[in-house]
Amino acid sequence: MFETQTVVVDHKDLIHDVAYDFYGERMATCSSDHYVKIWDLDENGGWRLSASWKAHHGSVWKVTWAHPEFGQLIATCSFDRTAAIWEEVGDTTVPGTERGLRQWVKRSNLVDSRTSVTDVKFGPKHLGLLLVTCSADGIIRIYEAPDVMNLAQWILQHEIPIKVSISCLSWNPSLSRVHPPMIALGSDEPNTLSNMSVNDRSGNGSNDKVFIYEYSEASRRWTRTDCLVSVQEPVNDLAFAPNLGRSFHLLAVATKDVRIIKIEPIIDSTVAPSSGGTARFRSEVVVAFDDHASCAWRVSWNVTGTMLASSGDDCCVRLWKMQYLNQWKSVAVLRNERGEGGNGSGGGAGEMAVAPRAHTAYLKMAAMANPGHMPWH
Amino acid sequence: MMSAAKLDAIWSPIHYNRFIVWGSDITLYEVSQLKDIERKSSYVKISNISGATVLTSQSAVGVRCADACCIPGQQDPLLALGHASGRVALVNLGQNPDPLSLAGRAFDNSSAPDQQRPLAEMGLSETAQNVNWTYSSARMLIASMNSKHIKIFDLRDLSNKGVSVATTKYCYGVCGDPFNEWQLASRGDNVLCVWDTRAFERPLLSLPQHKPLSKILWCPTRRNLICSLQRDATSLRLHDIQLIHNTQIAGQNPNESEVSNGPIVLERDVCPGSHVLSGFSWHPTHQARVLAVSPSGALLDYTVSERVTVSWGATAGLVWTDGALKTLPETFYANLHDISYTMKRRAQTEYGLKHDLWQNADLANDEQLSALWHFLALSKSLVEDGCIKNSTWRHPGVRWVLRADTAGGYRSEGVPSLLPDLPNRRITIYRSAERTRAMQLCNWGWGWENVGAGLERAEADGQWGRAAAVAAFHLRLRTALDILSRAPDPQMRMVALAVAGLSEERVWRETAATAAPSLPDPYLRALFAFLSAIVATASHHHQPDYDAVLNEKEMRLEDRVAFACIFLGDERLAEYVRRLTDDHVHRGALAGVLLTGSSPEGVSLLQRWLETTGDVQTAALVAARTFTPDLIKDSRVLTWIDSYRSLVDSWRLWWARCSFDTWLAGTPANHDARQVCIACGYCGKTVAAASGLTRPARHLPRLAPPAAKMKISACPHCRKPLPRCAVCALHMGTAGGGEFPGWFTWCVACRHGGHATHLLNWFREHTECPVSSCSCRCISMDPPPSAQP
Repeated sequence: MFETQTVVVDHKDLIHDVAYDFYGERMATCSSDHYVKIWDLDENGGWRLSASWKAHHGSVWKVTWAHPEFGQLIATCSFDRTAAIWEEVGDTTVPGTERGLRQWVKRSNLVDSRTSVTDVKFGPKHLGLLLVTCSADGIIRIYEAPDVMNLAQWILQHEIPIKVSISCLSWNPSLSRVHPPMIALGSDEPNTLSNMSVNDRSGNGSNDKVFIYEYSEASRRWTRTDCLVSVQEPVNDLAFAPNLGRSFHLLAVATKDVRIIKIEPIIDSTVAPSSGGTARFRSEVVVAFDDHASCAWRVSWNVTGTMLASSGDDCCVRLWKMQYLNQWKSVAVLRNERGEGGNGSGGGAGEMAVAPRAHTAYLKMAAMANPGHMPWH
Repeated sequence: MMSAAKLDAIWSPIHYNRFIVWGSDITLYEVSQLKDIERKSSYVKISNISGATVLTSQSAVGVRCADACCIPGQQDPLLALGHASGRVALVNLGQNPDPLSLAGRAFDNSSAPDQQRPLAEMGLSETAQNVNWTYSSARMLIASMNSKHIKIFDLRDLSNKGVSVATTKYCYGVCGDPFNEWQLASRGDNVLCVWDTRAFERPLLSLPQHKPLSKILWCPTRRNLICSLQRDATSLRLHDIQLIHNTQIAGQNPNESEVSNGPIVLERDVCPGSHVLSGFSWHPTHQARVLAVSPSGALLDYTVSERVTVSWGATAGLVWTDGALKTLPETFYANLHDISYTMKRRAQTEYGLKHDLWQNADLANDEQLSALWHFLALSKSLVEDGCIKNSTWRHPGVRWVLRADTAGGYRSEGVPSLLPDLPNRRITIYRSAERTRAMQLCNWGWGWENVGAGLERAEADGQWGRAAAVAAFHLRLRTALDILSRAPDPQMRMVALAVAGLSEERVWRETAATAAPSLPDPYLRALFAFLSAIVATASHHHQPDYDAVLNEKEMRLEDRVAFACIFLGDERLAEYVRRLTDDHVHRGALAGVLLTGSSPEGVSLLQRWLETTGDVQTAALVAARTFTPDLIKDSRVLTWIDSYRSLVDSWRLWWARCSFDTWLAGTPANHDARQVCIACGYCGKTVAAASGLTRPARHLPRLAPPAAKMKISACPHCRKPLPRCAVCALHMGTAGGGEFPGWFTWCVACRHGGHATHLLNWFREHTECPVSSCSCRCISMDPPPSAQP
């Protein structure tokens, strides 16, 4: 029904992440081939390669753009245990001569992690230039560049041990002054109930996979203020919706299914934000879609948080749209099928390509199959 | 070792739509799309979109192993079959003769004629469990020997010296990596091993599995991916080997010198179906396509989907990966009718930014929003005309006008009125100044006597039902009948007939009560409900029961409220308005702005509206246009404004952003100060304010010289000179005056600067700062998109 446009990226291996910049006019891709590529939108709506370089010594898991206020800045994280911050510098060639690729310079290399760095995200602009990373051994690190003009200096402000492997994280983008800075973390730790090797690292034996951390201005610490008990399966991705002035937050979680969870702060003036004793949120699963056969991988919101795109094991990208009053329904299924033609279908979720029954596929993003080879310092 | 039930599949390496399944029989299949073979007689469905038809089949008794020939140009797959007797036969399964006439030949260990002597023999007096070619350019053969060795034979040296040996019990099923000639994989009981032939003593990796492995294969289309099948498993396991290739470079970095660069494996199970699997085969060229076979013979064509990553950008929309990146055309988003698309389109049309509020109504292209802007315009005009005085809010709503909160603030006058057609009926209507204003807000501003004006308008809009109902609410039954009889819809005339029969008889009342709810037009229903109510009132002491009219939810809110303003007593009216307001605020129904106006309740209502629809644009624009400064200070409103600014920024709609900020700054209390000024580097006071450089006309009208003539080269406060332009070396402030070319500009990194035009010209030809010793690349710090070549 709709012709999809294809950009040949020429990565030598699987593309792990695609990230748009703030305006949606530049795109960064990263891959298992250790390369990061930058794509610019040209006047005709096509994507043109503007830079490509070997960024890491291992698979590059994620790439993310900083707000343009801080310049043309991206952060990458990799299996090689590092996260890096890259800045674009102008054309080194004299303008007017042949137009070369633009150059990106590594401004800083964050080497604190001892294991694969699984996700990296810049904080919301109004908090300054913040960067958070999470690693396979379950440590969250929050860095800050105190001087936005000196991108070589990143101070490790907070180091939060979570104890379980963390695969993904998301900043709450809310601009509201009444919402303290908030991060959601997703764990892909296999459940202890499964017949996998007995794993008592999670300590308390609970299978909680999504954790909410909030920054308290009073204590100047990040504290865990909630665990979403509704998610008990390994989480592959999660994303806060752009808030746009809502009084509650919407969190999309890619796990066995795609879930949209509404997190509503409980307004209670008598309880100070720092006292984490009482529940701070009322969380509710607004909707859970299991259309992605067995496992959903990625979720991404549109700019208003009214539509969600998800991808999963069924080779499809599915679009979900908010109807009036927070009802969600499928509006499109975009099928990845090689050589079979029909890519877009604007209709409903009537037909399925695969999956006669629920699959049991499971992706270990960060878990190591051979701990003996784990790279240590 | 192989039972008769053992089934395995082999894709033909050169025919992309054919495969062989072998077990007790060997069968050649051809794959087609289901829709193409539907008419054919028999096929095996192998996936939801494809099926396989049998081309030929033959018995495979005694066959222990098979492989397909990959000589190009063959019309049909050529098979080599290894028999238990030690004989190897070449078989052509197709009907076409094969050009090389290889089919039918057989090779045997014993009594070999000359031309069939083996080229080389190796591993004499040993048992080979499995042989395979490597993908290296040299002719290398790898074999699992004696259940304990992996041997690599280099066929360039036939003297059996070029043999590498690894001793391991995990030696079975050895196969070479198609992307890396040095890499091999092998399996043992419960272990999958990966070897590097350059360091053949130890496996590079041993991956313990839970169950014995029955088959392993490298993926021919993706690097470093091995697929393994465990015995009696329903799933295939994919082992994605992550190597850190550049050990040398990693070693150079002192921080990483101690790193052991061991590979790590990401494992994943995929289930092609619910069957137990006995064999599988990768498609030679199609991305990650696997054919799996179950012991019962069921075939499953499955494409292992990669981890598809998706991302959604502000302008360009959705992108996802499918080997390449995929995007969708603009029309796709237009068809989704999502608020993000709608808002962007509205932002491009100056929606909400037009000078007159009502002009925005047309731009919205939405009934609800249109009504909202019209109401705001009406409310504003009523305040400006002085009809509504002393309003706390710039756009009061009905609830404020009626002062419903302060009970007893006013008392309405109840006027008994005669119903012209039923002279013995007296109906009490209520009047007060407040009610008049409320009805003006409801767009019922014509007044009791001049209802004709309103009726004409409604009739002109084709709202016959509404016109008739409004006439009846004004007790002009005769007019209502005239309107109905003028209506083009014959149904209306039938209604007129029913209305004309209005009487106090029970028959009429009961018939009307049963018939009215089935009328499609809510106004006609209300009309009957109203007439029934007034004729039902047995005595003058009883108040008629208007609930059916008041609760007619399909009627426009303003008509219901105006009706209430006429017929409800003070207390009931206040109660009704309160209830309606709460209901609308709770539901976030935009029509409720009529009741709340731009007040704290209006903020709550817009907040709910925003949460249900995501339309932050309207909320922020209404706030910017109609809210008092106090209301804007509400944290919710500030969040709307910030969110909308960020949204417009991300669309690069600077014009809309700028006008929005102008409207915000234009709210009365914000007129106080300019927001940007240039401070002197020495004393910190503003350079421009005292000098009148940028706004001479207002404050120093007598001087009023053209700004260019004012020579200000020093700070008016401390008399220290102003900085010089790095290009023209003149003190800033001397040239250009308030015009843009003369503006101060500077680089936030190196702090050098100059006149705006001079710098623009400079950076057209240079990338570095104009100050001679400074190598700051100022222009690349924040390159304006248009400045890039």
